[in-house]
Amino acid sequence: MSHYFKLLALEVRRFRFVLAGMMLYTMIIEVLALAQQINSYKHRFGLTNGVTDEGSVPPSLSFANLIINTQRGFALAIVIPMAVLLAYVLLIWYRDWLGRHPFIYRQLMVPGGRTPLYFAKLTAFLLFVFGMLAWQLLLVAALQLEYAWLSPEWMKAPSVFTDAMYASRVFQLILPLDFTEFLINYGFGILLVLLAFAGILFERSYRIRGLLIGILYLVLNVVLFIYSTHAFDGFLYPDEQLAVCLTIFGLEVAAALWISLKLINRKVSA
Amino acid sequence: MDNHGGWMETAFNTRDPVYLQVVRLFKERIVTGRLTAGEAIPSRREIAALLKMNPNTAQRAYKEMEEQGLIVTEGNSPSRITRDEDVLRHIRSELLGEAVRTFIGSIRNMQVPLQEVIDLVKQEYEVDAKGAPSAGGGGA
Amino acid sequence: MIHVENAHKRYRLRKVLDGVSFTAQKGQITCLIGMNGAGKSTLLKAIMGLTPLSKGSIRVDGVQSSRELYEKVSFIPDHTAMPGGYRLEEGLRFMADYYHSWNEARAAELMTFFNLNEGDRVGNLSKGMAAKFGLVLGLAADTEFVLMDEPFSGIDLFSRELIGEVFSSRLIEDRGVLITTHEIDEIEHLLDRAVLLKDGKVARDIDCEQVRDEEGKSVLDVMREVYRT
Repeated sequence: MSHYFKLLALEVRRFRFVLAGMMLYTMIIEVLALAQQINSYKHRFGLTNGVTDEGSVPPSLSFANLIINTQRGFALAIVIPMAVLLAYVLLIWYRDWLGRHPFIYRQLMVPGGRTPLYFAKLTAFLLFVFGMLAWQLLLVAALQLEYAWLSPEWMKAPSVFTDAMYASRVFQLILPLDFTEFLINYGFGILLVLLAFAGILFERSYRIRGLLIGILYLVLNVVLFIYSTHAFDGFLYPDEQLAVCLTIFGLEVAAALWISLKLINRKVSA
Repeated sequence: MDNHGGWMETAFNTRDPVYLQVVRLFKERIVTGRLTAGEAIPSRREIAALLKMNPNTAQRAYKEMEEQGLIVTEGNSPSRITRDEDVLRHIRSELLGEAVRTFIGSIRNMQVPLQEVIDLVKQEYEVDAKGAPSAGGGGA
Repeated sequence: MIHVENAHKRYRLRKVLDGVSFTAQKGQITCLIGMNGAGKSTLLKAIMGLTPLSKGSIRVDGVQSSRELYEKVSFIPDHTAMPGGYRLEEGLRFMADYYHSWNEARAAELMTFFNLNEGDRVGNLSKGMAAKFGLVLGLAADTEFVLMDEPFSGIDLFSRELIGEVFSSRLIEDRGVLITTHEIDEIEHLLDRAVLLKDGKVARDIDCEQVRDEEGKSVLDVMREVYRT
């Protein structure tokens, strides 16, 4: 058990600069995007003292609405870290396998089996994903402060925090407010990670054949899962539908874990 | 423990058993006086480290030397060179005989008459004894 | 002892190991000899569980796939298996963290003996220093066996001499050593046994001193015989 924690700490430590970099990047982009958006709004309505030529008061712009206007900025802020994390699903394994310093030898030779290694990499990765998520939530709160600080009085208007969350299309995807939707999105995401890991381990066990098997395995699982969310539409009550979906989900997660552990303990080749 | 400075790493040839080469080394040192009768020698492990050899081979060498009577080991004390005069004499004649045989073998094809050989040997011996560099080539 | 029984391994379409059997005893230095690609590395990795065999078994002290394998057997691969960004002391700490058999005092002693600097980064080591660091990682632990994959390849003469010194010292004594190499000139006199691999099979499995005694041949001579045809 202690090996699991040590290995987990090792994985987190190795990624700390990238993680910090991503957090910094997201923060800077979003802060700047928001600031830029506020400024352009200020200037669009002419003057900073709130009086247009016609003498009427320019419309206010709530925080939530401001975010709606900053789609591209937020997309940029989120997409890059997403891409990095996507790449790291693969790299978290391959960085140790390929190259002149095969650290994987040492990781595979840790006494007590390789199950802790597998779970260390898995949970480390999930920590990074959820860490970025939490960071994003914090940022939205911070951005609200920025909005309060930077925008002129005439612009200010109240908005509900959750409206702000739903304002950005990217936010809708990664931070859905409906709990079930959140569960499905992230459940699916976790399943994908598990399937990706299984695919990687297939490849590392059987090379090209393994890669094909891994891809096939992933596709089959995804198709089955998606089908299960919509199957029997009309034949089942929503609760039953959810039960089917959850069962399939549970089975797929269990299968992916079982296969991955089998592969890493017996079949993998360094 | 003495003699640590005296043992230097030897280049071993790879066609003769290494353990026999070690035995040979000890014999040479006995004959040349670098090892005296009754003198204590390094342990197997020490000699292995000193001569940069496999400890198993050192073990084999010591066993062989014990069997040949070159060294004696009493209980837990360090092994010592034998004091047995017969054995020591025998080693001397063995090495000397070898050297002579090698010499004779190398000049056999030159068809040199015995007296000439003896005179040359005498000459070379005396020069060498004086410590002067050899005249080289010799006379007619 | 490490006993390999009827090892088979296929890599791509080639039969790298085609029924290899041999034993490496504790207290002896055994050398696996073979040309490049002969399966020597594969055998070491198979013993260490780093690659599976298609057929056959490997027993260490009579047990297959023991959980305690890694506390009993050390492995020194041909490439330093620590991240390039790690400092040497981080590599040492990794070993200390996971292995009960790790001996910190001996590790420190070896670092000094090899003149290695804890603060250096793995990625910046020369081939010679990397080989020495590998030896530290492999020899500092109190393991019964040490497996070394091409410990002499590509390193300078002085590093080799130093490494040769290691073989005749206390560090190796009482342990079983299994090394692979295709250059045996400098270490031949240190070997107890040699297993020559050819075409995936064991061509000859010899006691080196015995062959010198009985056949008047060096291991190099035997190699010439085996690999000439």
